[in-house]
Amino acid sequence: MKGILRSNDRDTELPLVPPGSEHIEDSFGFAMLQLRQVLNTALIGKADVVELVLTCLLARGHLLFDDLPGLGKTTLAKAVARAVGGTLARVQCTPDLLPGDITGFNVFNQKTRDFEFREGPVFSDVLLADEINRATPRTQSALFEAMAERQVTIDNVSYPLCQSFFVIATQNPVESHGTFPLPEAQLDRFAIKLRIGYPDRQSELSMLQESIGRFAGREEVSRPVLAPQQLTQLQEHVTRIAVSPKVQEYLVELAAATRGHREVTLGLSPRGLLTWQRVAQACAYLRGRRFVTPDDIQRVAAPVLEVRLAGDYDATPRIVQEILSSVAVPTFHGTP
Amino acid sequence: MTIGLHDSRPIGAACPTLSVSNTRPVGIAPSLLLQSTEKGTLVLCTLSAMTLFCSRLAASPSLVQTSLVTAVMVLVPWIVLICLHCRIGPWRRLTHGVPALIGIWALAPFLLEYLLLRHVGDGEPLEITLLCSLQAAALMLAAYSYLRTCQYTACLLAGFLILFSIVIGTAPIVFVFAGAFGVMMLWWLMARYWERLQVVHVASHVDRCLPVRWSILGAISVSGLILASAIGNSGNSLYDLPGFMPTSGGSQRDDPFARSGIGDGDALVGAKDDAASFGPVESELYLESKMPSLYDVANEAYGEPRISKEPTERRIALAAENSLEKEGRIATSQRGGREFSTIRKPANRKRGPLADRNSPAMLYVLGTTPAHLAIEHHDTFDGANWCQTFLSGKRSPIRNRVIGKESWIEFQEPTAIHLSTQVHAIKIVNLQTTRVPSPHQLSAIHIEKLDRPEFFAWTEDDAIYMPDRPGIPQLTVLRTRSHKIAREQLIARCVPQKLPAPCINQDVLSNGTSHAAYLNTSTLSPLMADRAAEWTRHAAPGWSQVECIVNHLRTRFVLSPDVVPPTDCPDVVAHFVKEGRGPDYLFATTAAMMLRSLGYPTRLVTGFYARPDRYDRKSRQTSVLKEDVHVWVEVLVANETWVAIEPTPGYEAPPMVLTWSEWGNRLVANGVAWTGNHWLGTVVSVLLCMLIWRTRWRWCDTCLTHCFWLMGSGGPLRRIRWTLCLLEWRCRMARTPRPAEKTPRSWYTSLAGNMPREISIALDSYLELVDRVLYDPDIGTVANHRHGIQTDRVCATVTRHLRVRQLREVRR
Repeated sequence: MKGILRSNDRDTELPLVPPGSEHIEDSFGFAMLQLRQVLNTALIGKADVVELVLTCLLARGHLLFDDLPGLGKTTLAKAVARAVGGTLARVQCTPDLLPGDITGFNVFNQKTRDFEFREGPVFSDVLLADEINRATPRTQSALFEAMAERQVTIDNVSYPLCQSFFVIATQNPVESHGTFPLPEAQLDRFAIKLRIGYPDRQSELSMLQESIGRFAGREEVSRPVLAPQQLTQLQEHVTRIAVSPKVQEYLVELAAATRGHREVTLGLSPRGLLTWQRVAQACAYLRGRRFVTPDDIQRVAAPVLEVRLAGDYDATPRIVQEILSSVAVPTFHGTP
Repeated sequence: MTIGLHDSRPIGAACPTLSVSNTRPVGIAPSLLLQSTEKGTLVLCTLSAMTLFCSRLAASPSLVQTSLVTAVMVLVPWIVLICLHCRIGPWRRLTHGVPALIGIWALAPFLLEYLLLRHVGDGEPLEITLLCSLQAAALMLAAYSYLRTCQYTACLLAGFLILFSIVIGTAPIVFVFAGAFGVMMLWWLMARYWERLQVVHVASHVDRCLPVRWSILGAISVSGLILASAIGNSGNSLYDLPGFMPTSGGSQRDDPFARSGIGDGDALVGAKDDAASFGPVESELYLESKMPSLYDVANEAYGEPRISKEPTERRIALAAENSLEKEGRIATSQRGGREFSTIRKPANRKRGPLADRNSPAMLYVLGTTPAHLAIEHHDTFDGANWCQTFLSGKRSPIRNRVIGKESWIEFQEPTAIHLSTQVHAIKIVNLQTTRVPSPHQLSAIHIEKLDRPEFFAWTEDDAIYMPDRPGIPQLTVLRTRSHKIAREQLIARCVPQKLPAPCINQDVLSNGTSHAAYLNTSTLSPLMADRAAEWTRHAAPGWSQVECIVNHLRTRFVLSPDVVPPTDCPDVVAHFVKEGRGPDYLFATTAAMMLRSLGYPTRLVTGFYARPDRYDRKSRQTSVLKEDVHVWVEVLVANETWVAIEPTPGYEAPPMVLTWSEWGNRLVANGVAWTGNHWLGTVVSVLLCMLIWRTRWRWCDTCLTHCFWLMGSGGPLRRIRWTLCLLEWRCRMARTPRPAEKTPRSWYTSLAGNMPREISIALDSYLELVDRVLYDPDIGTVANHRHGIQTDRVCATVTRHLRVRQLREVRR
């Protein structure tokens, strides 16, 4: 099958906790530190991008990279897959890609005289879908169904995907010929949209330095930091991060502000609002807090809203800033 | 609502270090954490000191001296408190020998009294000195409030001083301070209660859903306000507060120290129809006595023969029901000031015979003062004496006019220079004359039930009098209406007239125009006429010249009633001008003659001057005594209106209606004159204001810091919130207010970029606490008492280092 790669690192046992540690939270903190370190090693000079990727991972959301080729998207996806001890599948989307190429298909086995289901790349832990906007809408919808439902239905049979199924999709913002732009309703399936951007000068120099002596195809394989079931536990823990009623009201007001902005044609949906809260919880967890603050919400506002707000593409960062500036953060007013 | 203690443990079970101990011996240094009750104790003592100061003010020999002494007495304990708790200055020495320090400070008023008596000559009674000593002791004890014994003793002494001040003081401000003391004492008691809970029970947290302290204080304040409003508006305060407030119910003896009460008013003659009397009592009751009266009643009832009033005078007939029969002698009051109420309780106690209450006043005036009350006018000056020799010509007819529901006897209609009306009430007491004391520009008079114009007439010198009677009956109340003059119209209409030829033969002038008499300058020397021209050479002809003469006399001459010209003085005006001082009639004479030489008809007026400083706040009226006889001048304007001018310094001119520009110019001129007379005080005040302005942020910051620190007592959560509130206020004062869309953490972190490391760490810790307080829904279950002290330390560090000045520097 064209453009599909898969790696198998599923069953590695990991030392979860450092010696002497008793609390599961401490172990998670240590694992997150290692995970962060691995990803920063893979993508040099983009600590903020790595942080958002981790946030998306912990929030159990899917990631959309909207960036130029050659900036490290695939490298990052591979590093994530390796770090969480999962399998990586890569799909290079082309216009002739069929839905079955994504989800899998039944093949008739002449020996057994029965149909056998051949799993598609969606059955991996991490799926990298390159240039997703080049696939046809039919193929795109097959992937989005898998992202939303975490299962695929083929010939009336549902096949569940793994719990830590994580999609990293990419698209090139420059090329528009022969592409099928993702519809807004489908974009809502993604948790955040990121741009990696070019690294700074020092990071590029470091990257060049490290590439000396490295042979393509024989990259050093790092040990996984988390097992998939551990990642699931972590994601479950993140959902229990406290969100106070005041902060929830703040979120709702921000959502209302997106719907009322004059340059936004389609504002934030309730699903997007839930996603925003979840991503903010992950952000709070990564900062070592048990509760979400408006700072967390503001920090993840741009990546969360950019993937959802319909309107002028170039003006989205400004619109997001205007929305954030138009809503007061919750504190106490007057005297405490 | 849950108010209680969670996880409370008895004291002794691994409790943390306490900042205050109930058994702390003397010599132990105070904690860095200044408890709110410690500051509150000193505030209570300061309030009691201010109350005592206000009570002493009236009897104090020198206001400046008393103020300075009180200021020092209050400031030094505050400085001691700050030194002890902020560990600055000689704070270590201050912790040793506390009883000796307090004792020395308590004896300081005696030492000061001795020094003042010896060197200055002023002293105060021993009782006041003893009170000052107690006050000093209370203040210094409050400075050492970290010792519980000192704190309680200070509160006790402060309470005693407040009670004593209320008893001896009469000024309303005393009660304001006493009220503030009461509120503050309530707060102190509640704060002490909560502190004791924190000390005795080691609580992990306390849940309070209601701000108990503020709720109680607010409820008491609101109830007090409602009660005060209800009582104040009811008008029957004396009868609404029996048993709560002392009232002087009135007795045989008139007590000037009585706070309120109607005295023996209910036994005096009172108005029957109009009970809402002001100071002078209007009475239309007919008295069966020999006193002169404007009223008469035909009474054919069976009884004792009527007491006839002699001599027979013109009177107004009243209905028989207005006749009041009284057994026994009726007392009269020449004094005003008691309000009468028709709602009276019957007097249950036996009263003795009432004595008359006499007054030395000639008359009482109710209304705006100063007021010039004219009695006589004079037109001819023979060089030594003024007299009236000429007829003034046509006078306006006297007629009755109904204004509102009252009958007014009208004498003068308004002219073009009249703008507005003012009303006075004059009660005749000891003045025996038929002439009506007339305010300037009198237009109408009202006497109750009197609607007959023939009761009044014009005199030959243009005054109003009551003919056919020996005098206006005593205790008659006259209400007058008079016009105010628009200065703008005066300027437009006042023009000098052509001077008549100097005339010697008075018989010729008696047949001439009346105005010629008022321009007669035959007795004025040419030198004085030249002097008048010289004084007015820069003024345009018209009212400006008149004002020029008046201002010159008021500013360059001195009022000296004892400096009179010799009896054989040929030219009193020249003598007065040469001496530069003299009595008021020489001022008036000089002004009149000089204005005549410039072509302005003038006449001399004698009468009474109702002085503003004789205004009695209790009775709300001004008494006019014999000494208030005064002389002034009137100028004829537009050949129809006599306008009074006041050339004598120390007496205010009759008020005029000014335009806004005139008012502004006068204000500026008065301001410049006042500044010139008080230049030293002005310079010092300006410098002080500039200094305060330059350091205003520091003062505001310090006041806010102390207020908010007091507010923030009561737990770590409260402390954190109030510290954040303080930081928000400081940012506003530094003009870097936190944007509404930024969290405190992001904002204050951005402001603290260049601060030293330890401050940044403290700020970061504080902002973490702020995040928890604001956004952690489980903050209540996680609170730890150990964090209380740490929280206070962190908040104190942030409060100390993130001041307005630092924020303004960051903004730059």
